[in-house]
Amino acid sequence: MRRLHPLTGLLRTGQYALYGLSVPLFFMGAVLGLLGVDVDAGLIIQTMGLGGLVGGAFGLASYLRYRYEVRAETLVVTEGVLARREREIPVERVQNVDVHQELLHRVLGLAIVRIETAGGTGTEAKLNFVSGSEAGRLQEEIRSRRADLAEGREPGRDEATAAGTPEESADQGGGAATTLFALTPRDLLVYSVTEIRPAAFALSLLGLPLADRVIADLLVTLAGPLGGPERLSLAMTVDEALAVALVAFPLVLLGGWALGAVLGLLGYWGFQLGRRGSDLVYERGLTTKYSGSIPLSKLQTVTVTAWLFQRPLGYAGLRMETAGLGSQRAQQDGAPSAIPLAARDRVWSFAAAIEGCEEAPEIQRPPERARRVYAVRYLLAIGVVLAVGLAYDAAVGTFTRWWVPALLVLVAPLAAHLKWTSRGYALGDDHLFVQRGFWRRRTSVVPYRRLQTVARSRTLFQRRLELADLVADTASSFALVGGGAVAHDLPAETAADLRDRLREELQTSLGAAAPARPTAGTAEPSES
Amino acid sequence: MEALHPNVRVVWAAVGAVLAVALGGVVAAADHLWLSVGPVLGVGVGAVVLPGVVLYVVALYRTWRYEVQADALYLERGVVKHVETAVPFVRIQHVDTERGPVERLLGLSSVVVYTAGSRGADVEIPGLDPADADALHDRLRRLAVESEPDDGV
Repeated sequence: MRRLHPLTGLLRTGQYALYGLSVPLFFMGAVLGLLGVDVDAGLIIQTMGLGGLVGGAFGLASYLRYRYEVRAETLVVTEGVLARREREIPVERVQNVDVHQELLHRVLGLAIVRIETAGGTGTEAKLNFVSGSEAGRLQEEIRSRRADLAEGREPGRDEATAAGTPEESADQGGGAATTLFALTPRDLLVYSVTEIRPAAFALSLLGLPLADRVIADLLVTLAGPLGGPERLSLAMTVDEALAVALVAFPLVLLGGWALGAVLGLLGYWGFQLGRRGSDLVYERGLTTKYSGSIPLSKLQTVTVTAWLFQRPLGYAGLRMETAGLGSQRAQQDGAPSAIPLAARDRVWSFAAAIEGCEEAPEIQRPPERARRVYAVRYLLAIGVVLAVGLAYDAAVGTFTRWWVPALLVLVAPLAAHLKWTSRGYALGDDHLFVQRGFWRRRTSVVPYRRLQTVARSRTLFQRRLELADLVADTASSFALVGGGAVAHDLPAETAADLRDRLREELQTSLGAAAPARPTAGTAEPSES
Repeated sequence: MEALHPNVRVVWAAVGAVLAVALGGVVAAADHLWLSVGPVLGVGVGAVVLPGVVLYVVALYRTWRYEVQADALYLERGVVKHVETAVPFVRIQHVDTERGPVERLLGLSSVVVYTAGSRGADVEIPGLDPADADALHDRLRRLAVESEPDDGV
């Protein structure tokens, strides 16, 4: 059994000592102080010292108790000071092994390793910290053990033979990675400025109230001609707030875009994708370094993504989806993991090579009545906003410009049209293609053999217009965060046919891949 | 296609009634604190919501159908959003039989089928006769174990 990096012991001891001494400080100093109980300062300091000692001892013990080992078929982790736990993770079931090094970690030679499986709600094992070289060794060892198991080779039963395993698989195409893709500096730049990062906009929005006086003054000056307030405060009328919002909106966009570009540049600096045996491995990052592995045998879905500004330039990205939860965390905001950005043709031929699917299939759009539905939906939403604004003005009387949202009516038909052109589906020989999203267009390639459940759903409105959604569910962890493959607003009949077709295709693909199972009629023994 | 046990409407209506009463209570409390319209408001809200709940339960019961088909468990349900789901037997991870307190009182059982797909999509068939539920459970389990292809998880 191995221990974590010795520095971990030091860091944890310090960290828990800090927790330990802050508890008495908080409780006796702040809470009792607020309650008006008089506590002697000396007593507080003594208790803090004691708390610090207990905390530090706990931290040290937690480091000493944490052991891990890669055995023949499992990764074993034992941990816990008071409640102890021994966890065995079958190597075959490991989805991703991700390594993450912040700048400070790199200075100290440390790394965090996360091992993901399909089960559970979080990371299965998080090793913080191990040394950088140990992280690489773990990635490689888990990969080669899994390859051995997959190929039915006898994995090493004891340490002596296990030590020989990596070299052996290195001969058989494991070992060093062959580079499949590297992001050129030019493409990195294009990627950074065209990839939209919602988190950056959220940060930009949150940062606005904290912004410097200069920005606040700028906002007031710009909002002046639109009927803005004398100065920013919570006592602004709605009219004034609207004026501020109108000028702040482009500022937030600009800030979010610039911030996102910097994050993209730092995060995807030196991006490289390689192949090692049956795994794809990637590394990226300037300050914080990320590296990870994506086992091709566990691929659920691949998705070609293209942001609005990438499409006219002929660019796209490629995202690999597995059932591991980490695959989605490691790709913040659902950013593409396999290829951040490359020419669209190249992305599709890469996807075709990996998945064995058709390149750039012909997408069937929803029927035209769907476009009318979208337009009506937008108009209704605008109507609701107007009604609320009008009602507020009638009741409180400070929102004389309640009609401003009505201007959106002008763009509603265009928005409906663009939404309509973004959606659609296609059927391949072995794959379902589902396309959606105007800002970020995503074309998911779902292999029939990976389908889990198939569903057709119709809301009240869809039923009136004979439209339906088709949900092709896989075990991809992206389905959990709303990234699942849903073909929207197909003709209801088509959706029903597709649902039946997909069921058949799943059975056919399994029949070809797995030992034949008895046909359905005979598979149903009489009930008794 | 099979319908659910009629008594399931009672279970749903009981849950709905509790919600309606709770909503009425919240409205009454809010009224007491801020609006002072009188207790009529809370009672009125409850009285409007309750028949709505009953209508909804009746409609929902009518839409519910399930069937064990050749290759998959097939279900249809939903009033506002009507969903038809096919759960292929090969994708079933495990099957549970559940009996809540109200269900036990009315002699009912539920069967829950889990897949490796997006975790929210686990399907539940409520309102089954306990004997039927056990039979369905056994049958699904048998069909599920007949083949175990690799689905990458």
